[in-house]
Amino acid sequence: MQTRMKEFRARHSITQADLAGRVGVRRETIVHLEKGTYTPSLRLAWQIARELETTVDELFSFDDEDAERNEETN
Amino acid sequence: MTERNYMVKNWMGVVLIVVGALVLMFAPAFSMLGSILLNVGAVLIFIIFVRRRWRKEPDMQDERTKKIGAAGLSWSWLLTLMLMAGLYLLTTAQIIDPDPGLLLVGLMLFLGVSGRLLQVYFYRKGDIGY
Repeated sequence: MQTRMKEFRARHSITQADLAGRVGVRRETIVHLEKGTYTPSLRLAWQIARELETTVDELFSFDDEDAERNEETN
Repeated sequence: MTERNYMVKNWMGVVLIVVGALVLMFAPAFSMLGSILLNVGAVLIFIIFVRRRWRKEPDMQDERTKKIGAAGLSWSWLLTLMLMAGLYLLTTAQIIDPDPGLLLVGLMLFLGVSGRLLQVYFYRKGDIGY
């Protein structure tokens, strides 16, 4: 899973701990989300997207999806 | 873990110690069970003490910790079942002849310890998937 959470978080100057508090998860969960080692539930993904004033689509993408996009562009 | 959870687990530890001591005093035939209860109670209180003393942030549960907790327990039950099946085969084939009491204690410990180890592994890994 690829994510742009870090980029959006930096844009809003929000720390990992702040974001964790706002969406009701542990800071470690945010760390693993940013590393792409944890796949969030749809609810959590939506909550994070709302806090970072973006959409789930903008924030998260999956490898298969990336491959499909590349095929489309080629 | 909230303060209330700490209190509940502390009291569970105290109850285990008291029951273990009572078993040791009044039912010498079950001294092994008494020792186990006493030790588990003492370990529980010690763990709660260490967590309260050194944890930097509250030990709250979120979707990831709940998912990992459930997966760790599921895998440990499965592993224990496989271990029991293996022991059954070895016993039936008369390769080993384990003491039933020790075997039960061993299986209980295996269930608890393997569950905890798997949870720690998943926590470090981040998720339960591949």
